[in-house]
Amino acid sequence: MAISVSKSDDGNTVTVKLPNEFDFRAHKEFRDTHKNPGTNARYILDFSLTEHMDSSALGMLLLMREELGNDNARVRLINCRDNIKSLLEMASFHQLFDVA
Amino acid sequence: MSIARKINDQQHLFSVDDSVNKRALIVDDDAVNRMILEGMLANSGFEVFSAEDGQQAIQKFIDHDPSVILMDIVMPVLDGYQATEKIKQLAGERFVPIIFLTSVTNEDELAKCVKVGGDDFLTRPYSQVILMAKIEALTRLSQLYRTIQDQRDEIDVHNEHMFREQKVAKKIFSNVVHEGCLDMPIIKYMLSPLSIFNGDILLAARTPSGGLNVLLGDATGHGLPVAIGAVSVSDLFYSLTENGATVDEIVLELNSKLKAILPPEFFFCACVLNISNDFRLLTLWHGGLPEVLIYSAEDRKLSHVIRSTNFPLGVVDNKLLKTDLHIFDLGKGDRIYLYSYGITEAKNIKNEQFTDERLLECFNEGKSVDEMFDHVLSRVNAFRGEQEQSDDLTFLEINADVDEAVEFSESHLTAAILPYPRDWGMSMNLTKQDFIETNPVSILTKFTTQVDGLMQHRENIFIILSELYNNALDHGVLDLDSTIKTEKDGFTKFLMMRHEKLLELDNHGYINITLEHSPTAEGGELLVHVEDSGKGFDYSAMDADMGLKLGFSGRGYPLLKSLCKEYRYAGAGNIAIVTYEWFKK
Repeated sequence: MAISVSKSDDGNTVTVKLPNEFDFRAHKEFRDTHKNPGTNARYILDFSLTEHMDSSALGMLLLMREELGNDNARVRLINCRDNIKSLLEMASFHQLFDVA
Repeated sequence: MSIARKINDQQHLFSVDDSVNKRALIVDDDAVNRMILEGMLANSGFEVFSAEDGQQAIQKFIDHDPSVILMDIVMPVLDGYQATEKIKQLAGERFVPIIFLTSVTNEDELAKCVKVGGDDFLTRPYSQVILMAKIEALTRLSQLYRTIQDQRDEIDVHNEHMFREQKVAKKIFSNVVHEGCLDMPIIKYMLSPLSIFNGDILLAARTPSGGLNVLLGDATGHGLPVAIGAVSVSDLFYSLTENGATVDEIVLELNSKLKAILPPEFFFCACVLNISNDFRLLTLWHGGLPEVLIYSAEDRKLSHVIRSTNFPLGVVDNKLLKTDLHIFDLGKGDRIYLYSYGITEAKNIKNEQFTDERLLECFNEGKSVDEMFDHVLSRVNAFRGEQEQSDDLTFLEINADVDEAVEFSESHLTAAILPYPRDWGMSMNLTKQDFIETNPVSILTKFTTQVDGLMQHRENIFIILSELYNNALDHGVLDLDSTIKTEKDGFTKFLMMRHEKLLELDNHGYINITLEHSPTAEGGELLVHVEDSGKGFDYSAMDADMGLKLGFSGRGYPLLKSLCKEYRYAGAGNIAIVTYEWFKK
């Protein structure tokens, strides 16, 4: 599984590049990306490599949001393909996350 | 716990533990040879046993369970080869290292040592150091072997235990998450579970008024957490349906329950729907499942594609959850399709997904409604080919045909357990806020059917209360014209008008419901008195024909007339009085 993480120079913005198939197999690796969030941490989840994701990935996103303080969580989802966007919308997740 | 301990022990495997299980068996017909070996091994801390021939060796092996055996070849009675074969056979799965010590130098003979089951050999004269090194190496191997075997046995026991528990749990699970009335001829479905407790849940139950409630849920993940969620969902769904709860009430109850019990990453994408008792009106809540499809029997094409606009169940609190309901009129024989993500995400050998585009194409070919179900499934199967199933796959079709919806008998109803008063009366006064926020019919039905014996009359009680309440509200308090319902798409229109009028209602609108129950020798009599704030109507010419003349919208009258001993109007026509006589079944 290939999740790559990069941090901005000030360490506040964490960009997480998600794998081709974002599903339960990525669970542990994904969780490690936000284990010790800084107080100002902002997360960008980059879906540019991601072709498919399943409902357990939605669960992982929800867990991330909770761990980053629910409504205070700053998580952006970028480069989502149409099928990913549509999945997020069907579950109304665009109301919880900033989706682009 | 003990498995963890065993695994921790593994780090010690590669040094021979001096304290345990050092027993050597020396087999040689020559007393001098035996003596030399006995001394050597005893000095190395071995407990030593000796045998003078193969036959004795077998007996000593049985008696003392040695950890290593040193074996001569040529001996009286039974030679070393035969003894080795027998001992290895007796040892079965256990690993008992046997080292041949022999003067034989013929290569074929030496090869035979290994063939009959020996683990190593040394030719005389042998080096004491090499022999001790071989013994140590083989003893270490045998300890490793034993540890692994013990662990395997322990895992087997645990597996066996877990398997038994899963079997029991599955039984309990299927008792609670039973299929309800999925066996009705108007329902076709396919469920293919990926694991013992699968991620999809499909429930169906008849409502007290003869309609149908269906729930399809697709959980994130599989296994125990999902199963626990599914048990709650099922329990709530069936009990709420039994009590006549509406779709939005069911959704709110399920959501608050799941939000409370499930960890944040677990939730249910779900669709909850109700089909009215005449199978002409569909009310649907859709939270996160793929599009729900309605296929018109007449036009042979999709009449509606309903996308989710709500959160799945268990994601947000009730106050954030929208209970947007979709309401559609159904034509006779129209089909409703629900499915889980397993269908649109079914993969072919090239790892491509079936997708909703491919699914919608199946409905674009003008097939008749009767062919549709099999057509879609065969398309999905053809697409998947040999590819293994990677998710739960659930596909459901409901046929909106009232004639096919045969009577559903409920055999699992239970009567009240505690004694309950049989001679009582109660009254309930309802105003605007109550009309909007509560469902008095289900509360009253639940209350009334606590009377011992009345549970079996629950459907009738529900119909009576719901007809009277709805008549009082719709035609009394709100003064709606029921003939609207007979127009095309009239139901939807009627419900929208009802909704608007409810919001506009002033504070003078009321409904007063009074119930009185008195026991008789064979059962009892329930008197229902419903008064509303409406202007009433002229009931002087009312008779059994009236309902029939009015057509569908007037159905309530002949229905209640047939159920009740007495059904009449009083006052200005704003008071309905019904007496329901019941007998113990």
